[in-house]
Amino acid sequence: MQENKNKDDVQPQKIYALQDDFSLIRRFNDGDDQAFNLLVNRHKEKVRNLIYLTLGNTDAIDDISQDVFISVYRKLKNFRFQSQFTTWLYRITVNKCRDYLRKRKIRSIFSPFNAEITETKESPNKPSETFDIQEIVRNGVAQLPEKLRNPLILRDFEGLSYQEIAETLKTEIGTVKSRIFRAREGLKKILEPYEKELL
Amino acid sequence: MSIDKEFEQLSAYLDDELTPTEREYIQQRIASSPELQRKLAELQQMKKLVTAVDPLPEDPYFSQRLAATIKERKSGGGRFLPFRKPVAAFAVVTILMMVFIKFSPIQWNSLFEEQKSNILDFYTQNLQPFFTASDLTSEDIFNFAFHKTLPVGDEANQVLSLTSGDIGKAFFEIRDKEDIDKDNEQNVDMERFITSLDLNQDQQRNLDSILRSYSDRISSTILVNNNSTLAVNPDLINIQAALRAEILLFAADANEKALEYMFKKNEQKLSLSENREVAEFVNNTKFNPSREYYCLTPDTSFTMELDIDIDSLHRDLQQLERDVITQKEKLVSLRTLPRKMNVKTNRSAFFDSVIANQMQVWVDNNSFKFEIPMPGRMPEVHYNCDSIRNEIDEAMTVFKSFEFNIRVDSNLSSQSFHFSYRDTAAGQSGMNMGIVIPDLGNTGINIDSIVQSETMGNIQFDMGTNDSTGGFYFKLGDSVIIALDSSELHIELEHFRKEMKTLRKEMELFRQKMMEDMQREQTDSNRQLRRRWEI
Repeated sequence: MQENKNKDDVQPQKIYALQDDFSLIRRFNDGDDQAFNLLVNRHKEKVRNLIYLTLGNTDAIDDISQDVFISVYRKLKNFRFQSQFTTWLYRITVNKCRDYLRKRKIRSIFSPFNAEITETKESPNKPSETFDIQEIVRNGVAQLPEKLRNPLILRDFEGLSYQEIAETLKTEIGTVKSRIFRAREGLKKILEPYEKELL
Repeated sequence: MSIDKEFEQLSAYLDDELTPTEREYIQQRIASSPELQRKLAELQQMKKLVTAVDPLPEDPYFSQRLAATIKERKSGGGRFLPFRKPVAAFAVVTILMMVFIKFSPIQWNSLFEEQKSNILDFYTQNLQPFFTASDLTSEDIFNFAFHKTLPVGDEANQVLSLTSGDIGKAFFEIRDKEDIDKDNEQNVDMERFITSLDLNQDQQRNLDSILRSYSDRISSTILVNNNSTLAVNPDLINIQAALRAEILLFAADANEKALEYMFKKNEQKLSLSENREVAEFVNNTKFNPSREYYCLTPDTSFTMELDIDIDSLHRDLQQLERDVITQKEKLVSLRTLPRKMNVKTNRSAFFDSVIANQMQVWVDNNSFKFEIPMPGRMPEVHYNCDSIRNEIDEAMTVFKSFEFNIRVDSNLSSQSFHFSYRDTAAGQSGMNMGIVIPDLGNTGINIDSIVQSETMGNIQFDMGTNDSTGGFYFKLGDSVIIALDSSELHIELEHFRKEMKTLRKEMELFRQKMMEDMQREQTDSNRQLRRRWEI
């Protein structure tokens, strides 16, 4: 009985192992829409957080996340299994964020007084009344240049290796290493006004 | 390794991304370098702050919303491929239009023609003559023949002027009347024309009849409407030339002197009456009007054919004149009266826009001017309108120099012959001279005389024949101030001769010998006279 119990404990783990990303993709491509739902559930929070940290606190997170997975839904049949699914997924997410930022910038040029499209980021250089450290850091990260911000987020939030980051951003490992260092240096400079609060 | 490179290695060391060799090296460096230790602490703090940021609260309904969206778009109810939809719609419309044009060119053309006709209808509706017979007096038409101008506006302070542009082009121009008068050095008006030709009452009525016969044709050449369309028939240029020709022929017929002057002086150039083509030109212009009109509108220009019922127009205009006479008592302006005109658009003859592009328009504060091609050839005949117009113009130029510049009057006193001449162009009008005729004795045709100027005091003039040039001369001292050239101013000499003949008749009793000399001189057909003015 004890043996059976142990067997039951192992079984779900074994099943779960069979449901890796590649297997789910293959099942989806074979017509199993449920596999896609599993894929979404597995990665949706990573995608949402990546968008959240890239853009700052914005209402567009849900729309962009939906767009990301709709793109995945449409393109999954063309996935070539030559890289991690997450690498591919994060690349789509980064590109969607980039598109969104570009559109917002264009809209701000042609509608400078439109309150809906003004920056929602709070400047960390201007200490607020309440000191929410997490918010200060999040806004500080969002203030980094895109080429520094994306590798830092993928490393420190998503936990990707330098190799995976290089594949996601289509760049060299040495470049990733350099940009992550410069991102940390830049963030330190941005957060200098809050040095006392952050220590 | 530079310090910056070592800092970079520190960052990678924190992320456990160094090779074992690199890790060992950097650990040794950290142990020995306070600066690296400080930098490592900074980097660790940054990494700690970033990784400490909490993730977003989980969205439990994300998957359901996504599934619903995908399902909606798959069923076609949503915007699954948003960017492709307008492209597809445009492509479908384009293909449908191509198919329509390919397989139904007639319908397409008819649709195009219909729209074109709508535009034409809009701009050509209610076209009315800009001038009416009541607007144009006989004198206006006479001035049109001589000066190529027609009065415009109630105050008649502006004129429509026709001038020649580049070769084959004519300008229609609205200008101030004062400017036109300045340009016209030979300001011949109808009154002077009648006086100079000594026209009797019947002849004056004939002249008026000729002028009035052109009023309807002139009226039909310039049309306007409430849509600010201006339609001009370039045939107006031919009408003006035909009118000139008729007036010249009338002048030649009415006055023997004019006939001699115009048709004996230069047989080649002034043979209007013998030129059959000129007669055809006049008839064609009067009775076979061109239907081509150049239309200017606020936003386009085009050429088109308009059928105008001249008879109907004439009746309308006559009725209008009667109305005007009736309404004059009520002080109603002619321009406020309604005008109707039967204009029928010939839609099949919509000219190519290239032709319309030959029209050029200039507008500024003071003038409005546009250039259109002159009508080259008359329909159904094959002579060159340009050469005929030029011939008529040259005849008019010669005709203008007849008598209109030199006015000779004479009267007689007991022993002197007074005559006056005036040169209006030079502004020397009213210079009267009195010639005291002495006893000429046997001086032949030479009239050595003493001329006394009433306005310039007593000045002696010598008058006689010039043996070297074969003409008459007037001398003041040794200077020849007036010379008469028979080939150039034959008619003036003839006039002078007749005056002298009259003089002799009236002084017959005491100037018998002079009359004989003058008669002998008149019969001398071989004498060549030349006159030259050196004032």
